[in-house]
Amino acid sequence: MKTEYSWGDISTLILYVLSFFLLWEWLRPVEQITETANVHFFIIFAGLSLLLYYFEINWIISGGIKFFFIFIVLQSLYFDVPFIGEGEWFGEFTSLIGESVVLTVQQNWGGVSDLFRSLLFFILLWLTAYLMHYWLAVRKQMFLFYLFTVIYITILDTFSPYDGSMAIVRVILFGFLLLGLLGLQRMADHERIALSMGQVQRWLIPLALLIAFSSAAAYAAPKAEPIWPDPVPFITSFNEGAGQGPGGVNRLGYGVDDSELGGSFIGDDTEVFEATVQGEQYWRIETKDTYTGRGWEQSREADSLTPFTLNEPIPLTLSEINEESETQTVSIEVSLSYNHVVYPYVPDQLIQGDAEEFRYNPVSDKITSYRNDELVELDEYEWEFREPRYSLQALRNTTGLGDSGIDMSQYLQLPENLPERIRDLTLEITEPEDNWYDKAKAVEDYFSRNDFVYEQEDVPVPEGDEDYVDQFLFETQRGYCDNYSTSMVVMLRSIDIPARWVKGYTGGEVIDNLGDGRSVYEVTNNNAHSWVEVFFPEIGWVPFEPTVSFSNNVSLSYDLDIESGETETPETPEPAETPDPAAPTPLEEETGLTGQVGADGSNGTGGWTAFKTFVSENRLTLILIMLITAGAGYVLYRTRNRWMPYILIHYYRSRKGSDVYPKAYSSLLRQLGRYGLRRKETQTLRSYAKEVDHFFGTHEMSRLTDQYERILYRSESADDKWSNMRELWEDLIKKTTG
Amino acid sequence: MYHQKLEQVLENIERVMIGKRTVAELSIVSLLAQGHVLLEDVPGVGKTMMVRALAKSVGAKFTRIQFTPDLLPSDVIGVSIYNPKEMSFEFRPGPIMGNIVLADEINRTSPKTQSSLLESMEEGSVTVDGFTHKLSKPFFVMATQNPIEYEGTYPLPEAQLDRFLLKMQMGYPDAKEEMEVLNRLQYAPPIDELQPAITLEELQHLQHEVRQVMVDEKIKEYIVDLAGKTRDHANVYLGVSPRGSIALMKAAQAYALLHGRDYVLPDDIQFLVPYVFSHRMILKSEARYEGIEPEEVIERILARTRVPVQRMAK
Repeated sequence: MKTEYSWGDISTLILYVLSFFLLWEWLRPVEQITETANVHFFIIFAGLSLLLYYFEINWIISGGIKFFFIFIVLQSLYFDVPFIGEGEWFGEFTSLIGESVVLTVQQNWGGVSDLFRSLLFFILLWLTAYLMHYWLAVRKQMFLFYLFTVIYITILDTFSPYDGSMAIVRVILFGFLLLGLLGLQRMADHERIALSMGQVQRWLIPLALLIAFSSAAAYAAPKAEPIWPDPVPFITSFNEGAGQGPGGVNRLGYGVDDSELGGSFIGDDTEVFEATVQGEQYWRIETKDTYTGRGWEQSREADSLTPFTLNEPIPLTLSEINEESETQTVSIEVSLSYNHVVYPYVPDQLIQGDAEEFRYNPVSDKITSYRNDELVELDEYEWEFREPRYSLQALRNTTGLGDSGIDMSQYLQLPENLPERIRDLTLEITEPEDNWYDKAKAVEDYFSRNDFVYEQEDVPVPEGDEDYVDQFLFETQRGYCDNYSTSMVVMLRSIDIPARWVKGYTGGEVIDNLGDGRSVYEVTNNNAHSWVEVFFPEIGWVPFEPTVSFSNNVSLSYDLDIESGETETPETPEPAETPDPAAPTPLEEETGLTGQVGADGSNGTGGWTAFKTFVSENRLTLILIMLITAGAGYVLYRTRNRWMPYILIHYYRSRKGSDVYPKAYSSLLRQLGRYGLRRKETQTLRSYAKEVDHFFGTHEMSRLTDQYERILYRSESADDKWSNMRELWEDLIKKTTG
Repeated sequence: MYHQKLEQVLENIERVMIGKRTVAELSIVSLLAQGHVLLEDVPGVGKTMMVRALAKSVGAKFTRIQFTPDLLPSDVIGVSIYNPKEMSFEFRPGPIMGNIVLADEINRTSPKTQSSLLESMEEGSVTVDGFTHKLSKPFFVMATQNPIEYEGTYPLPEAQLDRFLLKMQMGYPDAKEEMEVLNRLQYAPPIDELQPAITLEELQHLQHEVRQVMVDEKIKEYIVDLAGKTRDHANVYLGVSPRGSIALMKAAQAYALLHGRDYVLPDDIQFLVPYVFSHRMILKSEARYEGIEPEEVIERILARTRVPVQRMAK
């Protein structure tokens, strides 16, 4: 029967090849997520089985071939002796299998030998291949298998380290091609037609084009961020706290260990806490002072933690607080529990919190909560704080530590082998400035002026003796907050300005506006952040924000008039009425942490971000407009047979020419179809016209049809037909509006 | 206008044959298209009356051959007889030498005699003793077959069936029609009163005219589509030959002319397909055992074939 290969056979072969690819997708992850090795043997076996089924080889022969294959593979995998020659292995082989069968019967799964497991896996594959053959050759339906393949890939991608992002593309490509071809075969079967080459091509080419086009479009199209948090980090972050994820990739979030910086980040929408506060704040957790060349460590353990209680000023002074600063409160509701508390700039005292005692670490500035001398995790707490206002004059007056006698050596520490070019670069940047503040500003602005790129993926870990900052500054010039903040600290220290590295969260996203001017901010793991504090002897620690996508509009506001009374304005005009230090723009969460590269407005993406803000601000209005448009469109669509005839009448009334009548007649046919009098494709016009006339109780359609038939089947000229038939046509088409 | 005259012929036949307009129309179609008709029906439903009425209406010579198992070809086509007076052989024409011939119960005679009739139908002439004698014009055969008698019959082979343009059935009249038949025949058969409505010359002219009826490319495609589908159909062992397609086109032209049109409509095709195609297809034996008739197959094909209603892209 198979002496002459028709196109039907070739399309069947394509079907088998495609289904082999689908089956392969099932085997691909096996190596990665289980301990199975040598998966290629199983893949070859799957291909072999399908091939044998395709050639419809007698089951005895094909069964023999498959058993022989399994036998050879098992022998070579589990016995180190040649297949022919020494015969002892065979006895062991059979006894292993026998043992395993007994163990299986006893339900002692753990004791079953690997050899037996492999054998069972081969048999499972055999059955699967048979099932696929059955679906392909007999049922000619594959959708169920295809659906399960997709589900399998998506589940593995979500819950295991297996990355299915390419697998899903392959599955879509192969799967749709398979389903389309199978559909053709099924139809051909149904109609009992032997497929010709032309038919297969006529089907296959548009199918392939369609799939290629839609896949390419889907691949290239921007994809919406997931609304739900990725379930795996979401679940695990509850258990172990966020931080290091498996496999060298970091999960975004607050982590304790910063000794090895670098590497990619995966976003994580898990909510950490909600803060109810007036205006956006940076949330501080701790600082680190010792840069190792690879990351941050603490110079020493604190000798003792300083205890304090609620309603007692905290033993932490970040900067001199101006007395005129209003006291504000912030209440924090924790969703992801830690035993440290976060605090805004600059905290006064804790006024609420279910802990007996808080302890302040003077080295790291970390505040932890205790009950009965045990660390506890707070569900909610409340701070009183005052936003600092820095005098620009005082800042600019600082050119050195002077005679304050403060020991800043720990904040000037640098690794001994720090590449010299970092200092050279810093000197070059800060050369025109004469005071600490302007020097710090110059460094802060350096990154955005020089096209550094914000990037969470593909950020390298320094290798060998490479310095983390050096690599970032001179090689990659791309990275996330850690790169920028660390670099700025190191650069400032290299010119003897004391600086330190601060960890915490950015302000978060407003999820609710309370009436009294306060808003509820949702802070997620995506908001985890690091920035810089610089020490000014007369003022204290002042935060700086070097990270590019965060620096664009950062509105540090400096009140100049408080002490000196001078009216000098900052060089870069900044919105002075905004009293938030280090307040990030509302855009920063959207642009920075979701990985929008270079969204710092300097390279033409400003329009896009503006559009995004516009959309997010007017979301309700836009949705309403869309709903109304959609609703109106739907109503118009549903009632189209009411208004369409008038448009058609108007359209055709003034038209002349030989092709008007046929076109008008076709429009009439379509309109009648919409009206509910649809012509079957196998029905002649005349019998259809009779039906229509019977329905309306006239002869109009028959008369119109007679003229149309003359054009169609008698090749009569249509020139004068339209003028003669127009009234009749208008009469009839108006009847369909009722 | 000849069209009215054809109407007149139809009316004549209807006066004699009550409720048999379709059969009358098909007979005229066949006459106009210079084809022949195979009537498959039980005796006594008026086959002879029908043909006689048709013959009388067109003023044609009517002959009848009753086929029996012992009928010889010479009984059909005629024989040469020695004329002692003139000392020569003289051709005595057989009954086939009429204009309208009723070949009754054609399946009861031997294949030899059958083929003598069918050959002369095809060629329009008979050859006796080396002399070719032209048949009269117009020449129209209406052959009948009795479908219930199989004992001692010689069913026509498929190739021979192909020579009939149409195959149709008369069927019984319904009760009302039968009453009407009785009423009309009570005193005198109405056939005696029939007057010719059209002359033989006019008829021949119309036969020529039929060829001029316009068949659009789309209609031809429709015909080819239908014929092709009979060849691909799952229940059909042997589909309709190109000769069947030609027959359908000719019949459609005649049918259009009969209805006063000089162009063919898809409606004509749809009406005629069962009569033209059903005896030209052989069903698979499985289908026959399942009781499927060729007419059913044709109906299904019609219900699956698109009617061409759009102008072709130029």
